[in-house]
Amino acid sequence: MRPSRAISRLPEGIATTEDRQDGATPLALLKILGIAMPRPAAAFAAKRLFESLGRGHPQLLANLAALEEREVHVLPAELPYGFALRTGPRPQLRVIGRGEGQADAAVEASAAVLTDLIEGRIDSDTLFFRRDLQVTGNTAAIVGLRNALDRETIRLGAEIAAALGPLGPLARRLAHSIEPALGRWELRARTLQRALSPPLRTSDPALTAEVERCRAEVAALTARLGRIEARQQRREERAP
Amino acid sequence: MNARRLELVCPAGTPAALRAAIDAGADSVYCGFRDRTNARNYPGLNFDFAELVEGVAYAHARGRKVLVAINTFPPAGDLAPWRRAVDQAAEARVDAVILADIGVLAYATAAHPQLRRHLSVQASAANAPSIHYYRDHFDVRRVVLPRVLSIDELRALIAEAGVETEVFAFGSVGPMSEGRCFLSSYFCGVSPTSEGACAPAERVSYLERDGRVHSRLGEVTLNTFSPGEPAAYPTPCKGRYLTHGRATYLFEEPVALNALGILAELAEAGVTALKIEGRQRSRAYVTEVVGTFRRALDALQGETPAGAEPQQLRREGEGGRETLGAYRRGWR
Repeated sequence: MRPSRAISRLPEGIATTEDRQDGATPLALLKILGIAMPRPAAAFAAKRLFESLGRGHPQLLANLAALEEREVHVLPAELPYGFALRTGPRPQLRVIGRGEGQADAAVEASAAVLTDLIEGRIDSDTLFFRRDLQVTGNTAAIVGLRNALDRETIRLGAEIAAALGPLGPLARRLAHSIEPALGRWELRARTLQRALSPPLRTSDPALTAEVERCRAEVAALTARLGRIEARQQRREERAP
Repeated sequence: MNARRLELVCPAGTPAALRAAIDAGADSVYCGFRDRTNARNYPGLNFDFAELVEGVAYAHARGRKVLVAINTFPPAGDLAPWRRAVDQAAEARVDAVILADIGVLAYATAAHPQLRRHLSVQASAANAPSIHYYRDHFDVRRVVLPRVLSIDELRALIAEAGVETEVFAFGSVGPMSEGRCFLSSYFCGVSPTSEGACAPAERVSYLERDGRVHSRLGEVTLNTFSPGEPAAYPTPCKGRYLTHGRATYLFEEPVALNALGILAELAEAGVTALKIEGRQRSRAYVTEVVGTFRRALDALQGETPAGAEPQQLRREGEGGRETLGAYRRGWR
């Protein structure tokens, strides 16, 4: 079986969807759901997916039910809509439009990053430190959800295919066939975006990150130098 | 090079993380119960009794150990949860309990004399008389040393300690007053040493405003990060405070301890075990960090040709930066 491809920009050494050998293509499947499916169909698929996850991972449902009653919005950056996950006594997953509904907390990242997170292939704190994961609202709700997911081994590609029932194998084949095209299309879009951007534009994420890292480093060194100087001054004042 | 063999002690916040740590090469895994008896009391984290029993079976089947941290301090008149935790750890046949409070130590010594006792870093024992007190009164076999000692101080202390020593090798660093820091309680009204959570998640929030992330603890904004700037947890010791009109880190900066580059020195100083911090982190973190240290330790033993590069774990740490902390006290 062919491994699926990663579309996200992840640092070297971090496992990505590229490493999969199980033939699952969760990212492409997710994008098919997001791009090709009208919202009612995607909502139906999400409902089926959650029911299927509950059957395959009863402990996941129990862990979600053990959490406080909260609504967390999970927002894949490239998709036109997101997912509202309700924790507490009656866990529930539904599709929502951007900015729709009242969330206790929200998590936003690329679909690839979110997929890897759900599958336990990447650490959410590392992503947060690097600012590849945007977190807002009630942190306890997000931490609880992350820990509930991290207890289970979930293969999202297989789960989505299972949730689609008889359409699953067809969707998988479709995902396999369009995945390289999706990757090429996204690469082209990024290249075009870069070409249209003026040189050294500060909104370039990599450059901005580098500049900010340098700024933080300089600020830290300045602070440290200040402390050393203050200490030295105190020492000199104390000296006879 | 064949150095003294160092035991690799690794964190597990969930049963999945425990299995990941064992599979990645941990010699021992430490974990805690799902309550305030341990210092990582976060939502959805930690083990119930059945999960602990399963975890112990998984570890023992592979010749590894499980240590249980019961390392918070019971409030007055409320020892029952801590006693229950010690009883359950003994019943689950764990290899040791990691304790801090002398009342809990006394209970464990009396009720389960055969249960090996380690002294938690929360007890903050950083000198020989202190360590001898715990050794002589509670038969403590190992002390987890606070992150305040240089390599030379470690070497001298280990020569006098008379018990095994465990030191931190990777993870978040605190403001060097382990087990005695109450900063977080001023912001949240919750004691980190008896409720088991510094900056509890219930009080933490993040806001996006003007492209900057504002991290808040309770009602206080502790830090703001520009776009692309590495972020950090909003713990009071790592807040950026305005002093003389300038925002600066007063107590500690968001950096991660990484001792990968000084493993040979730690072994030579007489350290028994290396501790990886991070029970609150995911199993992906556990796999990455434990695997990297396993490779480095095997290389140190001469079992494999090449170790890990010290900078290999930089991305895993808070603030995206690393330090050798007190081991190299260049700032002293």
